[in-house]
Amino acid sequence: MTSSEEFLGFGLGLRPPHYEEILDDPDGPSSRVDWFEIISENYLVPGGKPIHYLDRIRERFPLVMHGVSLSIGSVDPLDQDYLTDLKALADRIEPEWISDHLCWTGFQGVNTHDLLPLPYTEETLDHVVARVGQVQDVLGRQILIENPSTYVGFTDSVIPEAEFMAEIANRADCLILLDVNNIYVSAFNHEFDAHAYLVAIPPKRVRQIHLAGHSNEGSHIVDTHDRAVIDPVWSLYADALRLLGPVPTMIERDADIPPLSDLVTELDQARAVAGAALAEAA
Amino acid sequence: MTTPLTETQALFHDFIINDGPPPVAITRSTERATAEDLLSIYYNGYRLCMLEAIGDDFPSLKIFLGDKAFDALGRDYISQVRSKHYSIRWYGQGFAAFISESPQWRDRPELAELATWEWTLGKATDAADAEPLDFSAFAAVSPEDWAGLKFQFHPSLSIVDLLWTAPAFRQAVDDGATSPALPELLDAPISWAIWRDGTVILYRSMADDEPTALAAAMSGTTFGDVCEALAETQSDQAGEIAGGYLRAWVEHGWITAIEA
Repeated sequence: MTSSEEFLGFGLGLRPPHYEEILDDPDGPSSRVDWFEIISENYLVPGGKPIHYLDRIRERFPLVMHGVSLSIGSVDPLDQDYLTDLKALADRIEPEWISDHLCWTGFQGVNTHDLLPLPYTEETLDHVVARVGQVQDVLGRQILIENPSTYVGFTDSVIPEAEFMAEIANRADCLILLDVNNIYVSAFNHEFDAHAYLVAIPPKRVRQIHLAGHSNEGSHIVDTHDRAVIDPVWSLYADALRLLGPVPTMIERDADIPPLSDLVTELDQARAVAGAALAEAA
Repeated sequence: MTTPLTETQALFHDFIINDGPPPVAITRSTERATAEDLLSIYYNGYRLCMLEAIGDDFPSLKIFLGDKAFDALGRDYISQVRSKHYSIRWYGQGFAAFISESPQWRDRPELAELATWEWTLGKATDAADAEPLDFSAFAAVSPEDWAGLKFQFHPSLSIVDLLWTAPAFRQAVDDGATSPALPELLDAPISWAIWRDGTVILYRSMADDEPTALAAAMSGTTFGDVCEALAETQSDQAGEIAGGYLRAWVEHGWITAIEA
C-alpha cells in the first residue's frame, strides 16, 4: 500500500440478512465496520431490491467490488457484456477498488460458476497478463487479482503460485487481493510453505486482505467460508502484516451467516491481531 | 511437453460438465489424496453449487417435492441445461419449461406452475425501476387523444395464468407454515398480476376481461382499441369498464408513461 493511500480499515462482506440492521441501527454493530465488500454479480441486475439496499448502504459506507465472473484465465474471450455491466456498476457506486480471482470459470461459453485452477506456466502467465491489461483498459483503473484456493495442481506447473501472482502484478501493473485463508488452504492442499508464500509477494502490490474460515476434510481443505477464522490463519495474518505493513482487511462469510454482531466481534479480533503485529514490526 | 492451456481447460471442463474422464494425466496427486479424488471436489462442487442456486430460486417447489425428489429434478436439469450467462442468477430461467417438457416430470403440471410462479416473483424482485404516473398525468390528455393513448408499464409487472393454487402455497411457505396446504387444481385458470411497489412484491388475481385488456395494453394496444375489444363482450359498458381497469392500474403504480 502506498503512503499516499489512506488506510481504509477493516471491512465485512455485505450480505442480505444484514441489510436492514445496517440501515436501521447505524449506532449498532455496523458502526464498527469501516467498509463493505459486495459480490459484484449480486448487483448486476436491472434494479429493485438489491439496488435499493446497495444505494442506501453506499450513502454511509465506502464499498469495494469483488467479482466471480471475470474468468481472467479462461481461453474464452473476455465477456464484454460482463465488463460493460461491471463498469456501469462501478460508475454508479464509485468503489474503492474492483477485484476478482486468479482462475477460469467456463469454456466455450458454458459457465461452471466455480473458480477453477490454472496451471502455472509461462503460457498461462502471458495469457493472464494480457487479459488483465485489457480489463484494466475497459474499467479505466487497476484491478486486484486474488490468490485462489485450489484443490488440485497441474503436472505442467513450473512457477510457484506466489511468484506467479507477483509476476502478474508486476507485468500487468495490477494489484493483489491477498487471501490469507486461501494461502493456508492451498499450502495444505499442495504441501508448500505458507510463510514462504508471503515472503514472495511484493508488499507494494497488496491492496486488500481477505480472512475466512474453511472446512478441513483430512485429505484436503475446502474453502467453505462458512465458519470462523482459525488460529493458524490468524497467525499467518500477523506474519503477513509484519511483512506488508497495514493493509485493509475484511472477513468473508458466505454461508451459515451469523448475526452481524458476531462478524463484528471477529473483525475486532482482526483489529487486535493487526495492532499487535504492526506494533511488533515497528 | 506442456499441454496447451486450451486443451487443459477442454479436458477439465468436459470432466465437470459432461462427465468426461477425469484429467488425471495432467493433474497431481498429493501425499494425502489422489488426483482423481481432488478432481471430484470440482465435479461435485459444480453440482452442489447449481443445486443450491435452484433451491434458492424455487424454495416452495423444493418444499413441495421434498429434498430427495427436488435433488433428482435439479440434477436432471443440471445434466441437460448449461449456464450460458456470466451470472448464476439467470440459471433457473429455463427450469419451468424444462419441467413441462421433461418426460419424467411433465405429467405433474403443478410442478411447472409452481416453478413459473416462483421465477416470476424473482423477476419482479430485481426488475428495473421506474417512476409510476399518478392521475394528474391523465388530466393533461385532451378528449380527442384518449382513443390513441398508449401506455408503458412498470418493468416488474407480469401476467401469469395458473390452473393450480401455486400462489397460496408459496405464500404459506413464506409465512412459515409448517404444513402448508398443497396446491390444488382449479376448474379454470386464474390470471395473476405480479409487480413490485418499492421493495415489496405484490400480486392479485384478475377476473372477467381485465387479463385480456391488460395484456393488450402491455403489448402496445391503444386505449381505444382496448375499449373496442371490450365492447364485443360488454357492449355499452365497455368504456366504463375500461376506465375502471385503468384507474386500478394507476392506483397500483403499474403505468409509468403514456403516449398520446
